[in-house]
Amino acid sequence: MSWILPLLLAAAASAAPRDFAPVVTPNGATLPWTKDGRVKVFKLVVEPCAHEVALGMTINAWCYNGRTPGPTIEAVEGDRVRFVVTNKLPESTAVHWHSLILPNGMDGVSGLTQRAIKPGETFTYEFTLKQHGTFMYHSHGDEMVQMGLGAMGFFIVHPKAPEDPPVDRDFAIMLAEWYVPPGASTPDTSVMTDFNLFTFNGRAFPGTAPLLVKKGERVRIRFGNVGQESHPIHLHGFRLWVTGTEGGDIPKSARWPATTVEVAPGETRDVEFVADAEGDWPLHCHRRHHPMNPMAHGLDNVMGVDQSSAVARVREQVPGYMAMGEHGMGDMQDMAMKTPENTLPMMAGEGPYGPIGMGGMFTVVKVRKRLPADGSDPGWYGRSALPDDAEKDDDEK
Amino acid sequence: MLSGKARADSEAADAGADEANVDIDAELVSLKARLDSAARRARRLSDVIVPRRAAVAAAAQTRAGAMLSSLRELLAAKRAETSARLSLVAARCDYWTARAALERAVGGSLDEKEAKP
Repeated sequence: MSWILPLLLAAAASAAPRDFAPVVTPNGATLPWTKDGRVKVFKLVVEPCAHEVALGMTINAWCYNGRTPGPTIEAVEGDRVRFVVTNKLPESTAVHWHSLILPNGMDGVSGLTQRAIKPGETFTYEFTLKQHGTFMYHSHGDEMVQMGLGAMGFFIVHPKAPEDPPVDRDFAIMLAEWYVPPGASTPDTSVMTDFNLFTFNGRAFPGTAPLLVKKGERVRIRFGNVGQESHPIHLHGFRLWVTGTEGGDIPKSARWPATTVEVAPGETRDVEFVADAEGDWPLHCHRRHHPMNPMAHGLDNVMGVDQSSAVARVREQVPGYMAMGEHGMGDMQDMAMKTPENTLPMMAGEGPYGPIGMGGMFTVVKVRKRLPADGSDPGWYGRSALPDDAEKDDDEK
Repeated sequence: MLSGKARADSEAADAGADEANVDIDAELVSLKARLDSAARRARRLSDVIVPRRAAVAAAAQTRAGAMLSSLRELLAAKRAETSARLSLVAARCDYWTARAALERAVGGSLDEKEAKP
């Protein structure tokens, strides 16, 4: 991991004053940069890495700077940027700057706009940022494998002019789906439709970090998707305004209200809301299988089927056999069924009132009047709020 | 001094005895080979195949319990395990049958060190 030291040095060098609210990539990181004259210089190393999806499950991914999604790139409209990309994959690659307007030779498409970056080689991209918004970067060579193994990241370009109104919190969440055979560690990139693992920034609930927000703050969440499926992302408790796409800002007159925003492959969506209600508010994909962890698809439907006589007979051959699914799946978390090695249970997470029974693309937006100064998780609203009930009632009045 | 006829009878008898010895040797070799083969087959089943089938069935049970596979797949894995165990019983039966045949042929018990399943 020879890139770590330069990154640490770069982090110090890039700690210059900023005129924008830095983007937070939950469970992720921001790519540091250095200055070479007026050029911001970023270094990316694309390489295999072991990536933890949640406690108990690690996959063999292809990463930028040791993580998937790769570190979020942040720059400002008008910046001249340079990316020094080193390929440590076992095959050729290129980096495409998704939705950015740039010279054709910098577009990063293997074989079409450049010779592919061979294993061990370094290639430098350089261009000027002519727009602002939420963009992405990803590999553009053997895409099925390279993106299927995680070679993707955010590229955020802040506007040169101050935003009106500015946001207080700015989050970025990359959506992705995978198929990891139960008991295995390497995603099967040949799978086209029947995925079994769904992630926010490469993490599946309960491994997803909560989004911490102070009551009254204006919040932006940026979603990106360079995967295979579309994801209708739903936030409880607030009316969202869809303010941007991968094409940039949506004019104010054309923004629309929603509580669910569909993010298709190749798209980004920015949503904004004012966090005017305290609480623990779920943020999740609304496709039914996506806020779940691995389960088989196409099993026999035994909902409502009395399996007791069959179970007795099966147990003669398979002692300890338990019939599943007769009364729904909700009790499975209580039963704490054993799973194959390196495989997450279908649903997990303990809330203040019991099992949350979710997985995959699920996290919680935690809105509090006060947040811990050290940025740590304030805990559950249900419990932490109890002593402040009177104060809460006053707010509601 | 044997007469010509007696000499001929004696040589015929020697030849018969040699033939019988050859037959016995061949039968013993065949019985020993059958015994060794049955022992190897029973050992392979007990040391490798049955444990693997049992591990596959246990994994199938874990997968079915986590709703990662169906009861059908679990029963197929269990059926394969049971089939392997039945094959092991048959192989051990073959072994002891072969061993009894060999002991009968040699007219006594085999050395305890003789290959066992």
